[in-house]
Amino acid sequence: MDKKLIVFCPNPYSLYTNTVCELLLRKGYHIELIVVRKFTLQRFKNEFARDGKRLLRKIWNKLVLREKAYTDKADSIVSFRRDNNLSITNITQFQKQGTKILRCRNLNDKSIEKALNQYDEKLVIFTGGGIIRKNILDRAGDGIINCHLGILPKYKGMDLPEWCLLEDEPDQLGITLHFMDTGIDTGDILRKVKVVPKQPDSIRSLRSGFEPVMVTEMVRVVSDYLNGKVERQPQPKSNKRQYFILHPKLYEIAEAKLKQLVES
Amino acid sequence: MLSPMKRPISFPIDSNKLDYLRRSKQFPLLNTKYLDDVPDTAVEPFDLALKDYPKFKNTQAEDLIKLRLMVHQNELNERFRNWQIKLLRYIEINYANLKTKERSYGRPVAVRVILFNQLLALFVEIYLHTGDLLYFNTALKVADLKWAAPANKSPKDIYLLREIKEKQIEAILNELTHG
Repeated sequence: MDKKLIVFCPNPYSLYTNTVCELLLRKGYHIELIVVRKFTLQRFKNEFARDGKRLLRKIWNKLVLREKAYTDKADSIVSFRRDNNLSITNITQFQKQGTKILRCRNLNDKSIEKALNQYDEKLVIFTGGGIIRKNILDRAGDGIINCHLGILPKYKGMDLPEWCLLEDEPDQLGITLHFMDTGIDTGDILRKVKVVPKQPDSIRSLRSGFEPVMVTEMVRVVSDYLNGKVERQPQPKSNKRQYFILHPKLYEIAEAKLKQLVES
Repeated sequence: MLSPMKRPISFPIDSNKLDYLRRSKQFPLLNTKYLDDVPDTAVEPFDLALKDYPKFKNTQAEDLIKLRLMVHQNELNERFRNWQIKLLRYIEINYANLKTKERSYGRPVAVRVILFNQLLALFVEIYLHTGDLLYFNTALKVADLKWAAPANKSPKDIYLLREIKEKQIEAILNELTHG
């Protein structure tokens, strides 16, 4: 029996979600269901409590400006989409291919449990939307694949590219495709990919440069997993170290280190 | 054992100063790096045994002083590590709501100020001892908490502790920036 592909998504306009889904379609895969979070006041309050003022900039860039947020010429998801003639910018467009859309307040809602229970064999692709709890993880079939912006098992948590630079470990810049579990970035690893920065002039453009790698590797690992070409590798349980949001003063130092790295 | 992320910065201290610092209860001036003099704040000794980590709302300044002494004496055992990770995670995960949580715990403002300044000192000293920038990162965030800065009714020692830690923070940032 073919596994059903289900995608979890933070908002209907997510460039990452739309790009991954369109690439999967091009490879001949059918996306059975996209689960997308609604915009609610409670969601805003929760995310603001977690991210503070960073959330406002995130909302402005991702929901208001969208592709226009990418004004420089650096490698980014926008340049990747342009180079690959990718055009879908709203998940509702996938409905034409028979994809169902389910809107929810929270990715851990009972409605998601019910939706997942409808399918025996499934694989979930996480493209954003918040923490996933055990009730959903237990119903996710083979599991939920995430693209983590750091090389696991060492770099768990947040702001990992910045931490790599700060700790003078630029060779640890990269991504990890892994299954999610109840821990923070502790699930089984599918693939690690190092990313070599292409002359970025800032951390922002460094991060933009990760985006094309994230989408291509996510699609590649999903395809390889479904074809039995990649195996899950459990992470050692002993390493629980987690990184947190970088203080602005240390962010400046990380950025200075990036500039030195590029110049050398 | 913690593995240092960077070259750890060691701080020189002779045995007279060590004994002097142990005697200080409210304000052990541990870690004399970047300091020219150690002010006179001698008081009675207290029980150095550290209990298991309680919830943060039950943590006292005295617990943090004990932890600072353990850093100073390089006694980073399993109990110490458990405390340090739990304190770090508590501050980081609850950072946006720390003030609200503190109010709900009902700690008097003066006690809260002493607690958070000892916490700031602890995180700075863990960084200086181990080179682990995770703790310095959190120290910077604690230093940013305006409501936890020494206030009018704070003991003089806490102002001095704060001043010393801010001086150390500035020196560390300078060292990180210029190598």
